[in-house]
Amino acid sequence: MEGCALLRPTTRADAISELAARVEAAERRDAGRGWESVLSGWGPPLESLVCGVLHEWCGPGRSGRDGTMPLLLLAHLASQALRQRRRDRVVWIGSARMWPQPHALGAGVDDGGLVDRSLLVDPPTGSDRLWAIDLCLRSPAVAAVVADAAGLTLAHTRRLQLAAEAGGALALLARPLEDLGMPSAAAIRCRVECIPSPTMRPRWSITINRCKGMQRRSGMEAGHTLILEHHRATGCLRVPAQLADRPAQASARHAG
Amino acid sequence: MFLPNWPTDRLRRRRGTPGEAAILLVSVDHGRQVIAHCCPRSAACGVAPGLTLAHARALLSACPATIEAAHDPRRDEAALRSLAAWAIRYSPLVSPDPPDGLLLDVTGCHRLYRDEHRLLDAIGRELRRLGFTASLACAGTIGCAWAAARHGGTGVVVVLPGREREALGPLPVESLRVDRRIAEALHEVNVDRVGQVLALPRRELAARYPADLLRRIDQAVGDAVEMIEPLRPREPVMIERTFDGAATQLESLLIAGRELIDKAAAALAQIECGALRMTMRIARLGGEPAELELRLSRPSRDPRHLWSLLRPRLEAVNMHLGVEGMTLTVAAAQRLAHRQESSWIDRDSAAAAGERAWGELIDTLSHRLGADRAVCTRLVESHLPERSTRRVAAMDAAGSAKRSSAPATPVTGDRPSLLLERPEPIDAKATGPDGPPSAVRWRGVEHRLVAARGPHRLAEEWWRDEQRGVTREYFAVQDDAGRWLWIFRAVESGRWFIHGQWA
Repeated sequence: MEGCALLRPTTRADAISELAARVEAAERRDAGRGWESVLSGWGPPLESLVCGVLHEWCGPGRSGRDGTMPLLLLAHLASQALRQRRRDRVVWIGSARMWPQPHALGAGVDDGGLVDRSLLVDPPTGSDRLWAIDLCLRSPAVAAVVADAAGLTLAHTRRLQLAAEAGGALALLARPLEDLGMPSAAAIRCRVECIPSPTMRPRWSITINRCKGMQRRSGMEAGHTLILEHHRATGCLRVPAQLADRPAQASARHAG
Repeated sequence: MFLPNWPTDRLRRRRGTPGEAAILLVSVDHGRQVIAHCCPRSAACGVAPGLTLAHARALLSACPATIEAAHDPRRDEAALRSLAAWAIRYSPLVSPDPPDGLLLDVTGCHRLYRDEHRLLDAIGRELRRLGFTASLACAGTIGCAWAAARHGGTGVVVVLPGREREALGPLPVESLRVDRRIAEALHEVNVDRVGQVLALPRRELAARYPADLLRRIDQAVGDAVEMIEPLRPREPVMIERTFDGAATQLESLLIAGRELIDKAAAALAQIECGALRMTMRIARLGGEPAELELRLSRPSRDPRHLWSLLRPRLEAVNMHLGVEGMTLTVAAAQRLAHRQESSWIDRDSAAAAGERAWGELIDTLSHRLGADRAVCTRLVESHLPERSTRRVAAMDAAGSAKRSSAPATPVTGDRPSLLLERPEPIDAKATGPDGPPSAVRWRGVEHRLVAARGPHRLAEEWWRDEQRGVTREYFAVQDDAGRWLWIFRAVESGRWFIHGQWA
């Protein structure tokens, strides 16, 4: 707060932009740490995922026996985080039936993908799961934590947010679709849905449900939709090539 | 103690091969494969060290079985060290004498067996039981015992103190542990026996032969002192704390536990090791002692980390009527070199710190949740989806990764990201005899299928024993909601199953 006393902006416009920058930094909670965004190649809106804050991915299914994490999407994000940070480990936390297969982890890709760098953790109870997520987020060895976060309350997510800030890992929380309305401390919440694809590849649509403090930086805003397609050879998720059925808005953004 | 067939006996024992197989140890010399050692059985057929392998094979053509292996002197020496450790049961001072002998200082020990003969008989019997040929000799000097064991004939030789000269007399000059060139030079002047050497005037010997000869003579007859360098067995780190009266407060247990961990860490730092397994034994009043075991994925001697693992276990201990004492033993340790603290963060130290933090994370998770709940994936060489991965407890993964050979090549092709625990039967409405169905019913929900890739045929691995003769035809299908599922038809029965999905 000493900045108020020290800085005497000369013009009104300067003062407003200075204050806006500080509000943004406070909202993003990574002021001064210079964490870079982890993504590239998806066009501007989602490129501003940063380490040290929680990201929630709701969907594609509901909770219960059929519930799954969007594994290919999360594996892609985790491998991107690995490329950016100097750490090289990823922890997956969730029940054993949700653990990814090596092909989701990029087995067969040149550098071996995440297979040898992934730790799979299956906590028996909900409180153990919360403890494990907290512990992994705080570990300085971990680049990304992918966790099943079904049923976490606001207090739980606040605790995890503090852990993510302390550790600086990319925090990816997968939640079932019905958690979409639950209050949470996460900075970004996206809704993930399977959509039919005219090509023979799996496709998802990702709708940004809310994003805290991202608007100014990247133009990210709630309601924005992005379509991603799984690419088998590289194990990546990509924005599909220009096609007739893409939403006009997304194509305009991508072109820009 | 002389082990004439040490390399071949060791190999025979390690491989568990029967006595009638001949063993040849081969080394490569100037591009030729030359026999380095051979067992007595092949020696009886005329094989001798120095022959080429092809020659030896021709000589051994009548033999029922022949084993050829590479000669590995370093392994032989390592094995000799472990045999020396074994021999500590007979004498506190044991030293390996590479390449093929052991030295035991049995001063005073023979009384336990009444006399030297019985002691040597006992050692020889045990060695024969282990499968080693040995000839044993006992004498007042190392040199004399060495000579008597190698050249003193078969069986057990005991040379009484002061009788070294008589014992050495009839032995060949090689038994003086001298260089081969000195022995040859002695043979040239028709000096073949040690007795002849001893009869020569010392001044002449000193003038004509290297000083080594005189030194060896003195050592053999006892005029010069020679010490053996005994093998020092490493004592496991063990720290004990006994309470002054039974402690009933948890706090005292915790304080003592922390103290033990600190002491153990200091002791480990002294021997440059890190603990891999530790046992805490807590003696309780009115109950059996409690044993807590700590396992670590990577060696560590960081007291903070060790304490964070031990503390929750200590807190859960039932103290009964009180705790009388605690013992902390490092059951397994591994060398962990000292690291110099650097004042700036370079690449190496950052990587080492990351690796250490990773090991600590694995330990903490495994201790609270159980070792089987924190696992790593290992690829297995198999094309069947359920066999192509293996889950290894992360605790053991660090060690097993080092041991295992080249990693398996992953199956190329289109595989789902999520596999069901086992294939689940589904009701399928098939369009034709070979194509994918048009709709499936899985877990009570109807999925209309709009697109399909396949078939991809996977057969049971014929080289495995437990064959069930199942061939599957896999299809990747997309339902009308856009979800891609992996279904297959068992070709023999025609039934449909779902096995995974692209989540």
